[in-house]
Amino acid sequence: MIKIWSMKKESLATAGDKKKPKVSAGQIRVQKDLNELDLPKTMKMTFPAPEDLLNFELEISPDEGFYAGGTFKFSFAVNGNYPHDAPSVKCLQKIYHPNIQADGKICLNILREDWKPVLTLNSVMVGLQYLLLEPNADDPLNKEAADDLRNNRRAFEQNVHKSIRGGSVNGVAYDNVISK
Amino acid sequence: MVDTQTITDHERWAGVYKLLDRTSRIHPEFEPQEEIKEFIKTCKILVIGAGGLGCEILKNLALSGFGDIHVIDMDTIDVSNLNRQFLFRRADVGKPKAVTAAAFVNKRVQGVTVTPHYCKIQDKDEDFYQEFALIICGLDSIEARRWINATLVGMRDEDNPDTLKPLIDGGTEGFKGQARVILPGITSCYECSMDMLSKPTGFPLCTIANTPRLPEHCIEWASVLEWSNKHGDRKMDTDDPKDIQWLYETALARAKQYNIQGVTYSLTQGVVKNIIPAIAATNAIVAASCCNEALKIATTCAKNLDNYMMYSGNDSVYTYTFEHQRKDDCPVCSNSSTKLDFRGDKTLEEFMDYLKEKPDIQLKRPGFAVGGKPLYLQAPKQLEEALRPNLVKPLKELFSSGDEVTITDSTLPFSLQAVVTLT
Amino acid sequence: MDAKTQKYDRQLRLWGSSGQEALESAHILLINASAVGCEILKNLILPGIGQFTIVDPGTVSQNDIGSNFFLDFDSLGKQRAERAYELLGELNEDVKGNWAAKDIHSILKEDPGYLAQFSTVIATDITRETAEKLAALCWVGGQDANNRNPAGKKNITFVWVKTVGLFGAARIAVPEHTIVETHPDNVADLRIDTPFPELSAFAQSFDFDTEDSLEFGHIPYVAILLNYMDKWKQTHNGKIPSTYAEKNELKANIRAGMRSVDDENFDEAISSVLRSCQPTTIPSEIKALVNDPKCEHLNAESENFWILTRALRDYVNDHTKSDGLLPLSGTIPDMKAQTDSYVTLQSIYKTKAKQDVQEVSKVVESLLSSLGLAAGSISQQEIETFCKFSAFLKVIRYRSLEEEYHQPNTKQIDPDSVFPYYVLLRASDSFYDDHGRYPGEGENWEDDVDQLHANVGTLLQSWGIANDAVSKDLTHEICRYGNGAIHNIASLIGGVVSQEIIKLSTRQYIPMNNTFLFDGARSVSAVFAV
Repeated sequence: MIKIWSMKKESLATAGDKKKPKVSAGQIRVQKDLNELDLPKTMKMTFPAPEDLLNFELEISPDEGFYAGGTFKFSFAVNGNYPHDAPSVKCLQKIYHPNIQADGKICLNILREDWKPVLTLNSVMVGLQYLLLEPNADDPLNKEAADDLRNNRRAFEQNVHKSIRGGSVNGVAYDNVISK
Repeated sequence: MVDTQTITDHERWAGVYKLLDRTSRIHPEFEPQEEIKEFIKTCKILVIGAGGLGCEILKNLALSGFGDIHVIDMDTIDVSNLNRQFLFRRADVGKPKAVTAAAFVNKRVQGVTVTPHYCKIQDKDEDFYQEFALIICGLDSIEARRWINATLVGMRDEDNPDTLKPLIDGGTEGFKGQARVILPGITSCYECSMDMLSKPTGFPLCTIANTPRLPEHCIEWASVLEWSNKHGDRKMDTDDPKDIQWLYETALARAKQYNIQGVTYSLTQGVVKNIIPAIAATNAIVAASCCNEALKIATTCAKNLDNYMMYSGNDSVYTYTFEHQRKDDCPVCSNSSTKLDFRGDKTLEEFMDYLKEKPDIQLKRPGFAVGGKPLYLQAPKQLEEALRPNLVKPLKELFSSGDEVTITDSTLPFSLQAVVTLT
Repeated sequence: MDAKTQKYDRQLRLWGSSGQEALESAHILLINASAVGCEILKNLILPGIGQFTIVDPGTVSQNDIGSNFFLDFDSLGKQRAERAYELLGELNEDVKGNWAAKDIHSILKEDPGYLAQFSTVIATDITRETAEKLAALCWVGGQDANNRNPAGKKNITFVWVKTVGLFGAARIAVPEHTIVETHPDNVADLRIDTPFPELSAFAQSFDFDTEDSLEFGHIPYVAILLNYMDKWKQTHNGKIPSTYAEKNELKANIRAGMRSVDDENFDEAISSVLRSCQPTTIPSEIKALVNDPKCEHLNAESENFWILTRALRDYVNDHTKSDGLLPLSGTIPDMKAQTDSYVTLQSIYKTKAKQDVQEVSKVVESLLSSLGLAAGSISQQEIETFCKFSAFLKVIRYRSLEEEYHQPNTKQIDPDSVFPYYVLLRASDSFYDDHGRYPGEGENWEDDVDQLHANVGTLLQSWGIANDAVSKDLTHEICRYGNGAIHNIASLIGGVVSQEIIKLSTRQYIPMNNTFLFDGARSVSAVFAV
């Protein structure tokens, strides 16, 4: 092994070869995830700074289910340890949803306990869309919304209808997220 | 005062020199030669991390006869380090680990020079890493390991043997640990084995919020959900006992409310800081194994580990030595790399068409980036539109000659790193 | 958190305060301040053993400072015991150190009971003859056989450590080592096959027909399993599934009860079927333990472990109290459930475990009184811990060095294993007996190969093993090493030995039995009971 390197001192490093900042495996993976995305009509992404692939927003406008008619914004922040670490995702609006808290925290298994490096940004986006189509009343984060959904689907539907137009439910005011 | 002139290398390093002066029948390739002794005295070795493993590694290298050792660490000494990081004393708490460790070894072992670098590994560039004959890592951070691994794999140029930097990596957890030798681009790399890592436990948010059952659920409730409610944007400082105390009290109150036993200050600290148990004994074993490999690689006096040794001491003493296989689609070391010449006044679109046609590459829908910044991606639509103007720009306006372009495509196992010389 | 807890935080997470307390009562003797000896002490002083003592008649040589981190240039020519004591002592202000610049033989001549004060004796750089003598003394608690103190029932752990070039070895000898806290991965004991009444009542309290999906999705999997197991038993003469097909059938039954793919609690139940269909029994190792003569013949000198094991036996044999089963561990894993039902389930298991502990305690008290020992001399805490881990108790009886030498149990040798090195170490000892030095120490090192290999042959012959079990190339390699001290190997063996001494001193985790061998040329190791 010794023979492989600098016992022969004549070949001094790679002289003059100016080194560039290295791209991390995580960054390349994000590039790959994005480049291979095939977004449905209901989703739209925005990049506040297009040169930064690690921070962006996703808008979902469900065309069916309780939340049809609204446009829901989520922020994505991907850290340097991706895909070992899951992307960190938040809902940017205050919405009435059993699995989303008023401050934007989301209870979605693949964002925490079930995240695996084989999952992609696309898996997370699909997961979010599913959450809007099929809110899960059995694993609540907003307990009141979950109780409403479980006990009276009709009432829940009306509450969603009201809340996404900026109305109040159970004394709490929600953001108007109606699609423009 | 001892006259140091009376010290002879031959007597001082008698054990090591027997290995270096004598032939071996189990390893007949080895040829004793005086240059080898000179080489270990003068070659530069880099130690990454001056913690539990790092202290051991520095000691071991100095006592193996390595004369020019560098150590890099961004941390300062904490009181909880003292049960294993034997180069530090109570009076050193708060001082930089790299500086303190280097000074100690320099004083204890005459003739060795340990040079400290009190900074992050990411603060150093490839020119820095290029100076070393080999690198030994004693880190507890996955992220830092991935970084140095990718850097060393990226530095390797098959046409230039000097760019091959053996990376010896050690890690411990309680009574368990591992040592491995990575020859970048030749053996499996750190990234190839990412799936061997145990998953970090996170609990479902809804469990934390509504159905806590374990003391850990109460602690996570305090740190993940309740902290931001009570402290707004102030970031939690897990090194500040006041913040831990708050989390502990908050978690304890919740546990009481739900009749859950077992929330303690120590558990709170363990959960929020993700503390891994650590003892001197295991660090000694893993670090010694790493340095044994370093000595073997540097001197060729015996075959080096190929390439992974697992250690477990919970039940008896058990090691398992095996060759970890490279991963065909490893994001780091399976990256094909290529060198291309292309005219700088041609556009990105022309470059892309060229790559789609080129028989040995044949891309379908490639995306391009340089230094993490995108030049052109096929998707998502909004990004594609924002980047589309780049397609008609000449390459020389998009990057400089000799830059490495990261190309991803569904046809590639992971990515293609193309060093493009603009002509 | 006090200063000591802060300093020891990372290790207390492994062995807890009881382990730390045990460690702090250890007094470790190191015979000869060699590189490996000082590495062992370093790893024991850092975590805070009570005391250490270094006995070494030698002075510091150049080779010492080239291989031992705890002897520096300023130490050259000075007493090795004193300098090592000073530089090691700096590592932890809470550890007391002692030293004597004397030969262990002369110390023992003056004070034959000298070793009795130590919990562990580590010997390095000693001859086989000395090792045999020390091992024999430690075996009987450090007392000279002629004037043995009847109260000296304490075991002393003897550890003999060697490093030769890239090779290292450690041998542990202690008559008996008992462990309660073996730290198994999983202590849960759910009794799905034989639920006690409170547990059955709990399982029946759930409404599997509920309309409420939240309630349904949070029925703890233990209740699901019990429920389906109960139905199974009703149609199978009270028997639980035993064949693979039957277990799969039970799984299918449970799966059929799911209402949605999101019912993780049912998934948990299905994935626990195989384990739960293992009948709850007493592991064969524990059966052997309760039938050990030490249980039968208790006396006032008996270790708590044996009194407790006897109590365990009497408890288990009293079927009205125990149903013939071990005390319940009382621990349950996390599972999908509402807080209330989980806490209730947890307390059902805990309460039963506590009842079992009470029954065992009664037996312990009556045993203590029949042995003439004070009531309460085995603490409630100790009984609780013992019951909790009763399925995982462990006793190791080591072979003595005398047995190793005079009743060899080596029947065959795998030439590709590490074992040939053991043969070479033994042959090197014979070489030393003949020549007063170890093979390969001199300049004309290759001249020793034939002689050493002849010693190997003699040894193998005495075991009835073919001569080619140890390759001559390996004999050559040992001569190449020339009994040299390589720091990396000293440090590695030092790490292993200190870890084993921690396990032995804390009586937690399972130590190796009895010889560890490490081949640094190939980076492989193995443990053999020689």
